[in-house]
Amino acid sequence: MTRLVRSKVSTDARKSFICDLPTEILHKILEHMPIQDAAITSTLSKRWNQMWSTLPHLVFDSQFLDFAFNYSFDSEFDAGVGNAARIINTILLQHTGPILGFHFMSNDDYMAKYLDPWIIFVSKHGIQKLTIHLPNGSCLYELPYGIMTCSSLTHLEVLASTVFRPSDCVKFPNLVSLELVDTQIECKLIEDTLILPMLETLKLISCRVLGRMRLVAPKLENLTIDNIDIENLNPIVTSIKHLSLDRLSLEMLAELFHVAADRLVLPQNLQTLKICALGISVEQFSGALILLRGSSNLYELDLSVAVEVDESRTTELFSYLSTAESHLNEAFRMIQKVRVR
Amino acid sequence: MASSTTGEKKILTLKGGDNEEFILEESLVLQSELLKNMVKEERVSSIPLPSIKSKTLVKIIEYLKKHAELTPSNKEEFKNFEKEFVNVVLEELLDITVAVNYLKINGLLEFCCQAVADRIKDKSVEAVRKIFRIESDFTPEEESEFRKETPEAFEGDLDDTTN
Repeated sequence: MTRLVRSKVSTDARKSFICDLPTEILHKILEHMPIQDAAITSTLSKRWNQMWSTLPHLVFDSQFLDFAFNYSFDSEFDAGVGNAARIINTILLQHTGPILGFHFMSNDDYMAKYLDPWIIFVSKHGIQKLTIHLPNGSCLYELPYGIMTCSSLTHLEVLASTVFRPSDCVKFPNLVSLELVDTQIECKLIEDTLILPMLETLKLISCRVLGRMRLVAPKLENLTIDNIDIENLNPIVTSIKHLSLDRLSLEMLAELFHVAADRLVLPQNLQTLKICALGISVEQFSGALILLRGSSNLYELDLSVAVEVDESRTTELFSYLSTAESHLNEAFRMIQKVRVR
Repeated sequence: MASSTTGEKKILTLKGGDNEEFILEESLVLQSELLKNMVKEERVSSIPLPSIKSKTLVKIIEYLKKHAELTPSNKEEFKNFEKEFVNVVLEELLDITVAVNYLKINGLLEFCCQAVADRIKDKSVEAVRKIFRIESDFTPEEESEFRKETPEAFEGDLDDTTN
C-alpha cells in the first residue's frame, strides 16, 4: 500500500520518464532485446505489461531456445524441448495485438513438430513477416497450407529442409519477398503454376526442384539464384533489375538462351548483375556476355572470380576472347561501375 | 525549386523548444525524413521544432554532421563517436530517442533504441524499476500471480515440468 501512495507523490514530482514514451518507441526498444528479457518487462507495471502483450514482432532464436533449455530443471532433452514449446504457446496465447512478425530461428530441427499450430495462429493474427530456420534437419518439414493463402503475409524466409509444395494455382496474394534456402520445391502435377502477383524479391539458394514449376511473378525485380537447377524452373528474367547468380546457374541460363532464344526474352531492364565464382572458361564468359549484351540498361557489374584455369583450354579461351572483343566492348559500353574480387 | 541556387550552399534555420536558433546547411537535415519532406514540399528557410529541447537538438545536429562525414575509411572513428553519443544520462538518451523518432532519422533511431534496450536487459525487475523510476501499479495479488504466469516466472512453468 505504501508503494501506491509513494507512486502518486513521485508521479507529481517527476514522472517516470520512460513511461511517457510513445507506444511505437517502447515496442522498438523491446524488439532490440532478446525476447526473454522483453518478457520480464511485463511485470514492471501495467503499461509495460500491455506493451509486452502487444509486441508486434516476436523473435525466437537459438539464444532463446538455449535459455528455455537451461531453465528446464529436468536435464532430459525432451523436457527442454517441451519447455521451449510451452513458453512459446504461452506467449502466443497471452498476446492481445496483431503479430506482424514471427521469426523462429533454430540451429536444429527438433522443434519442427511444434511449428504448424504457431504458423496457423500467426497467419490469423495479421502476420506480415515470417521466418523459419530449421537447418540440419533429418526429415523434411512441410509448411502448412494455410500460410500460402494468407493475405497479410509480405515476407517469407525459409531456411530449412523443407518441402515447399504449393499446389497448382495457390498463390501468396501479397507476398513481396520470398527466400528459400535448402528447400525442396515439389510440384503436385507434372507442371505446376505458381502465381505470385506482388513478388518483387526472390532468393533461391541450394534448392531442389522436383517436377516443373512455372513461376509467374510480373513484378519481380530482384532475383538471386545459387546452386539450384533452374532447368525445372522457368527463368523469369524479363522484368528483373537486379540479378545475382552463381557459375552453374549462369551456364544453365546461357544454355537456355541458346536453345530457346526465340521463347525467352532477355532481361532488358537489368541494372545490376552479380556473378559469384565466375569461372575462367569459354562457357562462363560467353554466358555472361549473352546477359551483358541483352541488358542495355546495366550499369553495375560485380564479379567474384574463381581463379582456376583449365590449362589445356587456354588457347581456346584466348581465341574466343579475341573474336568476342567487339561484343565485349559493346557490352561494357553502358557500365559505370565494375567490381572484381 | 531547388535549382534556383547554384553553387551556393542552401542554409536552413532550426528553432529549438526554447527559441534558440541553429543555422545549418540544408543538405544535413535531409537525413531526417520529416525535415526532408518539409523542405521539399515548400520552400522554407526556418523550421520551428517547439517539442525538442535545444540541448537535444545540439546533440542531434552533432550526429548529423558526423554522419554526413562518414566514409569507408573513418568507419571505426564513427562507431566510437556513436558509442560516446549514447553514453549520456538516461533522461537525455530518452529525450534524444523521442526527438529522433519525431524527426524520422531511421538509422539513429535504431541505434538509440538499442542503447535503451541495453540498459534494460540482463537486469532484475527491481533494478529496472529503480533505473527507470517505474512504480509498480499492480496489486500484491496480481504481482504474485505474474510471478507464476509470465515469462519472468518462466520458473513457474518449470515447476510444472519437473512434476
